[in-house]
Amino acid sequence: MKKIILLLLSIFILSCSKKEEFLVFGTNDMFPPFAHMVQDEIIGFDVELAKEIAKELGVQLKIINMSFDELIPAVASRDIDMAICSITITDKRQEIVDFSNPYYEASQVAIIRKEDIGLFENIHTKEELGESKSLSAQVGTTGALMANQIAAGKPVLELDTWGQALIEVSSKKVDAAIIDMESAKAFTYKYSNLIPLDIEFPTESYGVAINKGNSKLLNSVNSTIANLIESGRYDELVKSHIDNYKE
Amino acid sequence: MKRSILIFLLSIICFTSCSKKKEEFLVVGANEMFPPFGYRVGNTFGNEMDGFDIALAKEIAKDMNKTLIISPMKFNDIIPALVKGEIDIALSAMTITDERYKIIDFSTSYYKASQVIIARKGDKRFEKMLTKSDIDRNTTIATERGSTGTKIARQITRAELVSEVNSLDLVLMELISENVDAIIIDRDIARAIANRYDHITILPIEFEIENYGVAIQKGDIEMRDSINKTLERIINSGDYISMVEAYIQGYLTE
Repeated sequence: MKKIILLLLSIFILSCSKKEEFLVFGTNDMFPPFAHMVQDEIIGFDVELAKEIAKELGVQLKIINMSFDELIPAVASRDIDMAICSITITDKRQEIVDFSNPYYEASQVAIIRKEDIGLFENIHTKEELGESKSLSAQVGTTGALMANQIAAGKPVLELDTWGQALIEVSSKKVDAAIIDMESAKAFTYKYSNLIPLDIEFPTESYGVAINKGNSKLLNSVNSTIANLIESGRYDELVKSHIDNYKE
Repeated sequence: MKRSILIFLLSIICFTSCSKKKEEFLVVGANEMFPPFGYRVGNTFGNEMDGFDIALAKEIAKDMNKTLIISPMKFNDIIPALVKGEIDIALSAMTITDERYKIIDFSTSYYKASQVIIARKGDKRFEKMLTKSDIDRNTTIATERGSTGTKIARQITRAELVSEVNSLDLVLMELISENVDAIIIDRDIARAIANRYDHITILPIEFEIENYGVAIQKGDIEMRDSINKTLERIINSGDYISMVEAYIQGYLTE
């Protein structure tokens, strides 16, 4: 018990004298290729971006692994300084947090059972998909937002993880799951029973979510992103973490 | 910043706890990476946890009339922390073993874990298999990384045919997408999953039961007796069954 009190005190003293020297960054380890767990470590494109930001600021990076739907609230309440986890910039999220300039362009994709491909022959738009088929998605994601938008009032099965959303498709509880395209690329090659459906979804931009009004951090993040692109380091990171993703 | 307010609160806790008797707190070590027994939630320093073990810890602290402090830890750090007295007890889906009894004590068993094999319904290869030695050594099996299921899988098939994945939902995906022939997971979770997904089935092969116990400092008899009373109370009142339903059977299928 004494040790714990000592530990708490030392956290207290350390954080008071040096609190500016830590950058606390939230992510979720189930978003390959942006953030995923290998052994006991979270790696991926978003983690590299966070490291570059910390380097530019000259501070130490502290990673906190939390569930995806808690990331934006945690930034809003200032429990963490920023969140990077393939988070799409949306108007709704911008009401409570600030976003950096976009650092990646992406979109959603519908994942279906391969054996069902014939049943989707006459479906060419996301609206037609939503009207005629049942959908699952991961709670709190833009995939869930999109699914509800196109479902025309029908219920969408929202689950804690994208893995569960895919289980519902695989086991024929629903017809399709709406998931992030890059994550989908990273895992669907593993599951030969599933394929992406060839219909278009709008382009989305990923941004770094930052405490509202923290212009110092915002400027620093934007300049880090600009520098990465200019130096060619951005392309290297895309190549090594996204294009060449392996589990 | 909110963090500095938190730090201020923590420091108050420090000072008040220094002046209070240490007996007023129950410091519990918990496995932060073992859902549905223990896992991190929330975002206050990332230290808030939930799970079956945490629900049980709350009951134990309540009966002792103490304030509960959860200390999230990696499984391997738990016994050393208990031996050094950094934590009072640990709830971390820990199996009671003779080996561990040499350095710590345990409560009575609070959960009987046993692993089961799940295959796809109608897979003829698994018909007539009644014991683990009936399993073909060419069977591919998926398990959750670092779980007891992994150990068992490596015994009943060739080790190179066992694939470990990072979470339980992805274990199930491996089976449903036909990447593997079978999966090995906890019995209670398996039952709930098999109820929901009717194209998979639990094989009638039985494995050894593991008894999970609350880990206690060696010789802390008062603590052990109090915990055993709490366990008896919640089992008799039916709270225990509700907790199993909510946390373990509800996991993945709620």
